[in-house]
Amino acid sequence: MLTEEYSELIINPLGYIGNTILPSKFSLNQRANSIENKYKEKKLIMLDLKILSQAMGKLEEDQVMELLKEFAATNPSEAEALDAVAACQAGMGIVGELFETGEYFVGDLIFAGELLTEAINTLKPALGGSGSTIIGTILLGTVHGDLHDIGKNIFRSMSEAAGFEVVDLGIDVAIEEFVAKAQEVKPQIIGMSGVLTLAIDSMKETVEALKAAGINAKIIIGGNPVTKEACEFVGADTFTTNAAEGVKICQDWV
Amino acid sequence: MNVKEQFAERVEIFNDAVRMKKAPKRVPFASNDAFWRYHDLGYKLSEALLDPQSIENAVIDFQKRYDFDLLLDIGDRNPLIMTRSLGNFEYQIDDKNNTLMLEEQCHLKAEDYDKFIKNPVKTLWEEILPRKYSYFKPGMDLPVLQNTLGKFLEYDQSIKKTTQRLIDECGVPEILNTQENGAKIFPAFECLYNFLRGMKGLSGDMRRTPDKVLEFTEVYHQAFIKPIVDNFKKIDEPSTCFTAFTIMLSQNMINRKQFEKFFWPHFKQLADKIVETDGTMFILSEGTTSHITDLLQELPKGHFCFYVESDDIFERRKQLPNLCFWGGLPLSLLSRGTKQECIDHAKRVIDEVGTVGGLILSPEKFTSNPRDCNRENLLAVSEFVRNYK
Ligand code: B12
Repeated sequence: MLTEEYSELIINPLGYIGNTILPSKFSLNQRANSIENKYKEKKLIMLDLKILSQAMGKLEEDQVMELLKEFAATNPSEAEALDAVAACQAGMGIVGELFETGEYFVGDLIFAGELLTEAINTLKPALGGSGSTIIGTILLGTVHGDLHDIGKNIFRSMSEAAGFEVVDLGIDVAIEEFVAKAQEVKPQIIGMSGVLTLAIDSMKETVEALKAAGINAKIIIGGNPVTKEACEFVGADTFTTNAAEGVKICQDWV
Repeated sequence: MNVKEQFAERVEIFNDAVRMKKAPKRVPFASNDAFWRYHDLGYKLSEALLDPQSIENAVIDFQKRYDFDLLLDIGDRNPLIMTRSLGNFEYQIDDKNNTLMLEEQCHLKAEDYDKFIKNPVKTLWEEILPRKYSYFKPGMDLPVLQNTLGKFLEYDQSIKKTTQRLIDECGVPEILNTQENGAKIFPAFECLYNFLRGMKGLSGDMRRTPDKVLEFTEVYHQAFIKPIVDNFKKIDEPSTCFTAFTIMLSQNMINRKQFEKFFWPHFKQLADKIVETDGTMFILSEGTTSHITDLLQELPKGHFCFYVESDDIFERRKQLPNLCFWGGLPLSLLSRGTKQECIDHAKRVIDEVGTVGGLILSPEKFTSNPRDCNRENLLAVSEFVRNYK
């Protein structure tokens, strides 16, 4: 049902608008225009997707919500609602880019995650729960002993923006909880977060238990103290201290 | 050297380090410990943190073992005994990992800004404190109140006693001059971030209702901070490590524009007062300050010492020749490196960052978990720093 470019935008919005990972080849404006052109060609413009993406990128909550509420009131089809989702996701890409250039900071990413959730919730009735946008499932949590969750939540929002379903176990997650939930939801990917130095040991214990239970999902670890050496010690498949990069890796995995 | 001479030397080397006019006799070495000391000294965390005598003894014994020039925390950072006596159990003790479990705090609702702006003291007493402290309500039982007052007094006295024992038995000065300059300064915006709204709430407020955030900080500043700052005095004979102390943690979360708008103006007032009274101030700032470098460059040399946590201290020295830094020792090295690696690194930091003052050597993160630090390494660095001139 999805055209190639369209699915690229849904599946890989961060890569699509070339934010953090792929060095930008053209400016934000050009990029927004190109998104608009693609949509124009396909005559998909019900609401101005370019303006929606930009409003999202600028974190203009009132504008985003006004656009979406007006749009939702027109009884859009599922395909049209998916376009709006894609435009919001593209907006998240702009957020990611502004974070990389230093204009945005952690607090902006927290707010962006909140705004995205709000936006998708407005579109939910029109999306009809078909699940056609879900590209994979990630089981996520902050490991035991650690309560820091700002970075984990940012990774969750970005993964959701990229089309993943994220099962978030929260903070200070017991080893058994990771194992039991992994057996239940059978995720393709398990993400662990932590910023205390002790988190590295907790991650190791959790990975060992997951392996002992025969769970063979890919494992990615993130958070400030995570390094290549730590990753080897933990026994995870890979590591990152950059949420956008983490999303890219997960996309490559599914 | 006797204790009095040690005390005098420490006051002098801290002053020289911050003034950055001449090399201090040696670089000061400070502890950055949260809870690792309890492990190192054989305490069970949950027992120690609820017993004032254990807290006091641990500080003194820790100091006697490592001979620091200053301890950042002397048991005053997480006063569980006080907060629990008033029904706050936000802090849970994790003995297995030897740390505290504390989630982000949010005791002010978005819709409470107006009330606070109108009457800060009333809102604090009637709305915020009862949320934070579950026993604190109208009709609170007298025995609970008596118990709380008793715990507060006991704790306060114990911290005072610890401070005095550090001076008398160990020759370690206080971190700031509480007698002349009151207390540690908790800026208005920091209070919103750390205690009242949390970053989640605040990141929304700064976009949805920026004027209210600004008004809040102004009202808070006028009511609680300005009176202390206005009272800052010029201290002719320093007798503490710094003359003042403040925190700046929110910069690690907010963007530059927000920092400039919400945090910097009040900080500037404080900084100007420090310069006016020719004081020295320690700024506890976690994470990175790399996005506000140009603002920090504006601060006059010789007054300010910033905690450098995640930024590269060698790069920061080139970018900020006007500031003294606190930090330099990675926990990865202290915990897993060899003694020689630790000493070599300490030497490099001293040679590159602290030649003409400008350095307080310290672990760059708080030590807490048993594996955050290795006793032999910490002893080796302490000894090296004391003798490296
Ligand atoms: C904010 C903060 C807090 C907040 C936490 C709020 C919250 N909701 O998370 C509060 C105030 C509650 C707090 C409490 C404590 N903290 Co704290 N805290 C921090 C601080 C300042 C920032 C952490 C942070 O959020 N960074 C921002 C995020 C965005 O970065 P990040 O997590 O690395 O995430 C990025 C990437 O790594 C990645 N990512 C993250 N997770 C994942 C997961 C996956 C799968 C992927 C792919 C990517 C990914 O995405 C993010 C964006 O790119 C750090 C200092 C620091 N510089 O790290 C101290 C710090 C971590 N805290 C510390 C301490 C000691 C504590 C306390 C014990 C303090 C106390 N005495 O009470 C308590 C208890 C904590 C506990 N048991 O967990 C120490 C830890 C020292 C150590 N030895 O480990 C630090 C380093 C401070 C210091 N100067 O020493 N803290």
